Amino acid sequence: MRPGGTGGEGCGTAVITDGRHLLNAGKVPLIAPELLSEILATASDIALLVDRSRRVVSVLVNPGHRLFGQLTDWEGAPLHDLLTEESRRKFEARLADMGKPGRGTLAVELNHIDRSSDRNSDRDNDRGSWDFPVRYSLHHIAQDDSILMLGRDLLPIAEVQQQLVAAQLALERDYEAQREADTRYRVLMEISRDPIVLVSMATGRISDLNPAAALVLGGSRAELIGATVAQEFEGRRRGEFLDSLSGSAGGEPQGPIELIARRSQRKVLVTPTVFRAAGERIVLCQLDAAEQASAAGDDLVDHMQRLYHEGVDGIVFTDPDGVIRSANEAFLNLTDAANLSSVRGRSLAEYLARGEVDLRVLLDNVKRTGQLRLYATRLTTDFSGQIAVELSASWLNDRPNPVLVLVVRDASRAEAIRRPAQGVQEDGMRNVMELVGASTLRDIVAETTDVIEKMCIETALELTRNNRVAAADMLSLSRQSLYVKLRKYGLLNKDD
Amino acid sequence: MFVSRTNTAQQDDSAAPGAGRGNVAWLAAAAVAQLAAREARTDAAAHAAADGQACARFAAALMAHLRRNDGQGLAALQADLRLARIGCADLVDRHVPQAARCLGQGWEDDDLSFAQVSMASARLQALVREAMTGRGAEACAPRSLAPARQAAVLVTVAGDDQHTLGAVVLTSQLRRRGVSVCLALQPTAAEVTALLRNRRFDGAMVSVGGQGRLACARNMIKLLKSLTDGQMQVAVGGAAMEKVMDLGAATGADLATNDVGLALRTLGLGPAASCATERV
Repeated sequence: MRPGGTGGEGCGTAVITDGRHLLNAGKVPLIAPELLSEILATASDIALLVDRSRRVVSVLVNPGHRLFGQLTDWEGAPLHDLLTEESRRKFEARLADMGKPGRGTLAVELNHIDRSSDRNSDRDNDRGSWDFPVRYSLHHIAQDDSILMLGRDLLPIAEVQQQLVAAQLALERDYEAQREADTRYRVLMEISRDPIVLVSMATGRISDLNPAAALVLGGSRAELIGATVAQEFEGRRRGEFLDSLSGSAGGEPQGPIELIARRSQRKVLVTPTVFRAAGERIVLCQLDAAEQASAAGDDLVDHMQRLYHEGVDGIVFTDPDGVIRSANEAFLNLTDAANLSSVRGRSLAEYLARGEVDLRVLLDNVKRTGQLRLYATRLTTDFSGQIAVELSASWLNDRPNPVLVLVVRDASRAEAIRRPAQGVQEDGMRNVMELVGASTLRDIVAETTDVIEKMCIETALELTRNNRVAAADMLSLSRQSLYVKLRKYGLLNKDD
Repeated sequence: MFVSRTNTAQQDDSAAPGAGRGNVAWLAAAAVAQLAAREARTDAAAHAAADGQACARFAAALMAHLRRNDGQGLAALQADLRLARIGCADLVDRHVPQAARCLGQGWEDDDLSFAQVSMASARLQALVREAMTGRGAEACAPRSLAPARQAAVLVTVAGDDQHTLGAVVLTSQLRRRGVSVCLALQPTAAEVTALLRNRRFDGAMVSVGGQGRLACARNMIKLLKSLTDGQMQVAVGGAAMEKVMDLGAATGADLATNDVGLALRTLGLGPAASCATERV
């Protein structure tokens, strides 16, 4: 920085003394260079004087600051070389802002590269370099575009931030480790043919059980988790079993206890084993059927398998969302599908002419009533053909992962006979024809409105997880109006 | 046709006038279906605009949550999510990356201090975890147990790169596509060696947070290649894609992209990569 500037004696000027570049500002008496240097150094943690070519002319470090150490090698270096890539761009942007009229003092957070670590270790070393952040205020100090940067060390905050990052990383690693363990546990429970029930000794409630156990106990996994285990069993030795749960039987390993599963009325042998996990005492109950399955059961399985593989009607198994898990050869024939893998994983809606509408109606009702018969619709084949079918659906809910079973029957011949030659008519329109004439238009519209209102309100409640304020908002109804309608359609719970 | 709806209506209201009640239910259902279809067809541009507005509203709510000092507001944010019909996949794939970009821009503009950005990033990451493991996570989770022939990918953030959000988002996207993912954050060379010795991966993806982390990524890719005699295909992506001209060449990766689908196809994991435009 050159001395002089525009001011006369006593005005703002930059001074060179003994090779040190200092400055004096404003209409104040000229301050001795040594004193000014000390003021700058102690008013900030670090002060940089940068010339118009953005080289560091002078570095003043607060002598009371222990962390920076010697930064004399910064003098003469381009400022860019001392900053991280992101900070370089940011600094340039702030410099551009400085030139704009009306901008006062600018502050900017910059990250410095620690050049000492460059010397000590290769930059390519993964953990060799680190950044340290400084918050600078930027000041033009003369006409020649020199800048004084007064910096506040943010290292203490950075250390806290590093602890946060380290905690976050540890958390992420824990999540991943837990996920891996969870997956192994889940697979073990799902696949195991041995019925296993885990019971919390503190509460006496079932904390987990596998599908095989749910089958033996005669309920779905969702129903049974959280259920009081004592209420799931009957039998003469129930008291003994409860003793083992309360711990009164001591820590001795016990033999199997014969009980009757209340829901399924099946005789089971329960072998309890107590263990402790993270302070919680848990009883692992292994269930064994007291009687062997009859030979007739094996025949039935065999017959069912043959029906599935060789039967004339399509049979499809889907998950609760209608995603196909398996389908037999007859269904593949109906849909012109090449093989099972091309069907598995796809939504059943893709094969129904009315898509999601059909699927929604199917699922809603079969889940509510357990079964559905003679549902007439059309299947869309893989080659965009359509074929009239009748569906029968059963909802197998007695398991952790409920399954929808569909029997799909080709109804194209029946439809050809039934259908008048003059044109295609939607099946459902026949129902409307029954309606029109039997009731007045006013009644039909009024009742239709009621049904639609109810459906929309139910949907809004579902979407908002039964948050009625949000549901009213979604439907653009006042809360009062919503309550009136909920009462009208019997959607209020008894305790409301 | 809608037989079940008919039955339901009859069960719901036995006092309804005769069998006509069931037909009313069918008519109502058909009317709703038609309305829904018409709604879907008409004025797609208006819907896109409405969607955009909902996204903007949610983005503002998300940023407000991320910037709060008291750590509260997650429940309110989740309520906003439900009302805006934003599922966990949408949250993770669209809104979280957008919010991360906003945070980065906030620091560059000096609207946010790095401490604020760090806190907000941690909350954002927690939000992703909550989306993946909390309520409503079913939609994100694979539907069934993974088959044995499921593709397996190593996702990693190398060296001292602390930008882990991108890798977590990528992991979520891959898992939703049925890929088995091992997420290794800042693993040491010994850890990587042990991983490759004990497990079998079909490929690796390295997320690079910025230009300053190229050396870490390059070393990691070199290590992965050397441990597999050059056999392992490695894709690289992340925020550095926007800053580095040829990230692939700079790191020695086989592919540089933020397109998950493209990365999977390049790694030879075709079937899982059928839907392809999500970003790492």
